[in-house]
Amino acid sequence: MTGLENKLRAALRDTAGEIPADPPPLRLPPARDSARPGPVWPGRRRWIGWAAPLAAAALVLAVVAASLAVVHGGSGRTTSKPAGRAAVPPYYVALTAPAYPDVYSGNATAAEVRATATGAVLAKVVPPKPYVHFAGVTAAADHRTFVLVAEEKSHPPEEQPGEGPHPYYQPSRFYLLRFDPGTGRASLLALPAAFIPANAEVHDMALSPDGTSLAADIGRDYVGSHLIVFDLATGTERAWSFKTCASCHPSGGGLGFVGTNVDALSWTGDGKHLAFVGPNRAGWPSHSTVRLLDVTLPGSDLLANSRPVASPPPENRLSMVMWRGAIITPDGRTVVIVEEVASDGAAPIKVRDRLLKISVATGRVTVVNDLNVLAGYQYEQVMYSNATGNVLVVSGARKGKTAGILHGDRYTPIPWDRHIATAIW
Amino acid sequence: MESEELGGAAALSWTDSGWPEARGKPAADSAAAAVAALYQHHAVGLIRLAYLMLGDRAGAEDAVQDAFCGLYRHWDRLADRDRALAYVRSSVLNGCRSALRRRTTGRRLLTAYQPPTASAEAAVLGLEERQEVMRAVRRLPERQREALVLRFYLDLPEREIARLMGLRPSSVRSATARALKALGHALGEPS
Repeated sequence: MTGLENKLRAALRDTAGEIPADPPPLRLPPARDSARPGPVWPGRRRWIGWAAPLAAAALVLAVVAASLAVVHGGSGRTTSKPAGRAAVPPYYVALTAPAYPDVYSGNATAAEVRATATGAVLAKVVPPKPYVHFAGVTAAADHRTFVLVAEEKSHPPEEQPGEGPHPYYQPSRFYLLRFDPGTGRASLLALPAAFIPANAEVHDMALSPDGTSLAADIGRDYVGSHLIVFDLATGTERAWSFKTCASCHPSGGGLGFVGTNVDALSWTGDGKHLAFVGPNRAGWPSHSTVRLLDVTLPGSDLLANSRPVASPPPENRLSMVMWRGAIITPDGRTVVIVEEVASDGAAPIKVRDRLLKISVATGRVTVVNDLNVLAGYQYEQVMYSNATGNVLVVSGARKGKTAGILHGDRYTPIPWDRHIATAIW
Repeated sequence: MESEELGGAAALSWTDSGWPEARGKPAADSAAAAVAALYQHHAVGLIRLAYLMLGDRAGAEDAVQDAFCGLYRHWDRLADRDRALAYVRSSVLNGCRSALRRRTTGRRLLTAYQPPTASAEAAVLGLEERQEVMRAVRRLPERQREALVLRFYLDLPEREIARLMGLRPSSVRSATARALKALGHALGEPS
């Protein structure tokens, strides 16, 4: 027990002691609602039979320009590209929150298209009403097409449908964001509301390189989630789950540090394979292996229909190793891992972040970036990879709120705003 | 911690698991009696837990009331009544999370923690130091604060904290480490 821990324990107990030992009387409601139906997940598929045409129509018609707040930032073209930035796309979308020292993506109040070279805001959108936050963002390979997930404000407890030990999730919805660099304008299109059922959360998501398919890990709990691929052209969907492993879950809740992460799900460049983190085999810890799912093949079992492509070395103690991010490079040959290693045993616990590359063919592990100590309170995120993974954009690889380009082992910082929670190229 | 909260006589006899025996009564009566007994034994501890999360007594009492009302409404659907305390503790934490989300971000972070009344003991222990620690705790991200309170106030094991927070034990360990690091930084101490 350290001095800090002792001080903390004493402060908590003293503060709790301010509450007197005579609680107010319990006021129970007059009648119980024992016939109230349970949660409907995953029976939500009922919409799909009749709503698919509507969903497709919604893609075209549900323009929400009225709720856009677009800030024009000139032509959107960047004029200078220092050598370190030449290999990175010129624009990215950042989720931002004002005056928030420890931003996490769930509280972002705006999505900003920014220039990589200067950090300048080229366009800005806010969540269309009734939504108030953007919780996550993902990008297609054209660097102009993005998908955001927007969330409503949470309801008071008495109105929450998810009462009980299950977390309550406020309603949320996907939005397609398109940026036109010629005009500097951004537009939002609402995707079908039924993509995200009531009282469920999007844990992580990834837009396919051609922008036609959206993969998302959605569920009521981290352990109850499904990996779903939505066809954005038709509104149809396919779902995979760990049928043979009840305690397994795809990525969500495991990668990142809660919230909707940009580096938890990823596509290969051909748009046929989806990388996610799951167990090596049934009964193994859910975060032990990066698996590759061929979405063109039939089946709905995440374990049976996918194959492992990267695992920690066997000598690693899994309880001490945490993968915070894992993406496959577009060429499908390399997995880039953000690994966090916590010390075992006696306090104080030390945490170390490392950026690893693992060869899919050979399993060879290369340490790209080893931080002896945690770089501030933020963990690293991999926000962009070129085809081979030799050019990455990462945040949190240096102390403070920072981001930079890793070209091989050379790090080039890029302009970064302390209000940025996460970003995607 | 739970045994510390046994003030007053229990209305019902208790099983080894801490669950009151209330068999042989009409369902609604037994449910009300059982929930009331659970409240009698654990309300203070749960209000204190919510108070540490929210920093305001009225909000803490509301969160606990809501949790027990929810338990009562869903009594018939509670699969494992030996886990009723865990259920209601989860509900309290969910209520706290919701309450925190309802507050605006700026207000939540910019408003300094102010204990309502300083007790004599608090003065002896160093009120200023405690306030400084609690201000730093309240500036932590919600999940980190939750991890610290569950570990250093309730003394819950890591596995139970993980279950309550819906995270894996390694995530809890990491959240705790990050929280202590941030706390140490805020207080000018090595974590």
